Amino acid sequence: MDTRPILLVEDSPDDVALTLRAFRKNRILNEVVVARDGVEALDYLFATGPYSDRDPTAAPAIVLLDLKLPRLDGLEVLRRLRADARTQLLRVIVLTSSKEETDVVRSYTHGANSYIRKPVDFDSFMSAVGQLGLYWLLLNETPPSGFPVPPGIR
Amino acid sequence: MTALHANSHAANLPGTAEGHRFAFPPSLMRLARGLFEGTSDCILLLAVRDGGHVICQGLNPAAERGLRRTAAECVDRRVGEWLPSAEAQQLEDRCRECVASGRAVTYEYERISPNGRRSFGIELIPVSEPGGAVGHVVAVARDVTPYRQGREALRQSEARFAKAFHGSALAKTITRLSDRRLVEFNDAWLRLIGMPRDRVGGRSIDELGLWIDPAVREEIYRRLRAGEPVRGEEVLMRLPSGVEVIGLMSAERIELDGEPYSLWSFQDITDRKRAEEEIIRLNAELERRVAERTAQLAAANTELEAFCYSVSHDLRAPLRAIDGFSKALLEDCLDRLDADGQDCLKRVRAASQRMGELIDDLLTLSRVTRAEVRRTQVDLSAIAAKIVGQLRQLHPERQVEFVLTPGLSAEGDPNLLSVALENLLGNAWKYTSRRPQARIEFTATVGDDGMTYLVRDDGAGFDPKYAGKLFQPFQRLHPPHEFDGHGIGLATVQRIVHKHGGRVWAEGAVGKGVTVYFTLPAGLWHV
Repeated sequence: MDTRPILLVEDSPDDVALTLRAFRKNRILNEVVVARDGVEALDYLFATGPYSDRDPTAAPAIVLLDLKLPRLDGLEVLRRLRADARTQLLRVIVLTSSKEETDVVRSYTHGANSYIRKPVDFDSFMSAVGQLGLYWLLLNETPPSGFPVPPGIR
Repeated sequence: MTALHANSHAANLPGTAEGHRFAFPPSLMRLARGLFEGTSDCILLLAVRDGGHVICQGLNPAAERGLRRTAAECVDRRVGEWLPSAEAQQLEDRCRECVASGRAVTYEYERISPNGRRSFGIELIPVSEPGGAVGHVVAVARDVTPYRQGREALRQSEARFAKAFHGSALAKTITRLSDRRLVEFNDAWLRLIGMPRDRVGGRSIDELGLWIDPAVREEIYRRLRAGEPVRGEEVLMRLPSGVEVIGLMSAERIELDGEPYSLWSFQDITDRKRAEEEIIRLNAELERRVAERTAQLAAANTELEAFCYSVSHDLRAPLRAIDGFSKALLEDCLDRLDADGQDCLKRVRAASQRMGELIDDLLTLSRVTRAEVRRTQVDLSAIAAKIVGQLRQLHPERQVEFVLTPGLSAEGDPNLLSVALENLLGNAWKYTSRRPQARIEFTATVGDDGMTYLVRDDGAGFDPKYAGKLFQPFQRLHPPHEFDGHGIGLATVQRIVHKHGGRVWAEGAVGKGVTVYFTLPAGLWHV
């Protein structure tokens, strides 16, 4: 079990509360760091601004990224993460309300590892979060840290 | 007497008779004989007797051929005996005239011969008798038909030219190249410039100041002097009235009596030109408006997309909170809620979930409306079979007979047509759910306007009174406790069919099932 923290990038306090509840109900006990917009998310990941005393090499287990965010939107956050060698292998799961085809396609082309639509029905939402935790925190093999990226693979 | 070309009658040749005036030297005699026998003109020697009879005394070989008579048939006989009477009468009259006047007489006559109508020019030359009295006539006849024809052709050509020139609707003038004096102009030209004939005759065309740009005029004259014709050049003219006209100018150099002239014609195209300009202006205006409307439409579409995006995102978030926190209440505070309170929360959750579904349906409908139709050949039967297969998997307990006509295909968008069939077959599946043994059919009929596809079920049916509401979004004919749904399926089907240029309609009765028909252009049936 990957016990590193989870970064939740979400601007709606309701959704934050519900997501935390879903984690708890699914016995996902990782620490959850909440960033309320894209800028905060990047500050955390690159250890800048309010997070400048954080160890930038300590990457979260997963990033749950909403697309519609104040200041810097989710797709832009994703683009910047994939453009930086330190974060290009970070597991980013887009977790959003939208099921617009363009959002799905653009998320994947920007390098999202997964795309999950938040259902209205909390039961479905819970089960989605549960499966997400099971897969990404338990079953999925992480690339070793400091894994050298062969040239040409980006 | 025999024919003159016989040597024995050489003494009867004109001018040689007994050598009254002078003796022809033998060499000249030979020349005269050669001429007499070799010429293609018909020569006759005629004598006018007392009483006016004209007797033939000899004729040359050309005359024998021309008259189709032998010398024996003609010589020593009156001309009336071997010439057509009218011709003979004329010849005798003229011969008498010639003898009486002692002067040559010329005339023409026409003869209908096997070669057609021929014209002959006749010259009668008086020959003096010894003693000075004229009694003989040498008649020389020549076929002048080709000359006459040429003259006639020229006359006709001139008449045609005059007609073409004066009768033309185009303004035409002829000016002399040396001084540009007007020598000829037609009525159309006078009408164009609006001046009477007597005020322009004989003037130089330049005095009228018709050309707005004299440089253009000089260039055209330069080309004419070089022998280069000008064909339909667009030029600008100012009429004496001050009105400016646009016209097509043609000009060419012609020769009249060996002097160079120029023949001009001018077609006023001002009205046509203005109409063209008007059309160009209208087209530009139309294009501008189309561009404007397109931009407005694009803006409206962008706005609609932004709206849908916002609906998809923002409208669902609060619903999620309502449902989630209701659920949390039910879980965390169950002991503090009585049965009514729990029921209320369950209703809150059901309502929020239902609203979530409605939002999704709205988005689907809007997506279908915005979708671009990418046309390709689509096997509808295969799609229908797949959909029914999925429905059977979802509801393995159902007893449904599915009757499918294989090989039905159409030209259309595979995704959109799949959505349409999903809705139609999904409806059929849903509304037959209360029958222990149901029957669903997908087939087609061939009508005048191509294929009509149909999905038929033997389910709950509908009251035909409300058929008009069937295809309107969010209109339901069944209460939710009988059949769930949001009334979006047939509206979606209709938009898809319309986007393909087809029609859709339904037939049914309460308890008798429903048949939904639709057409798609270029529907095919591959067996």
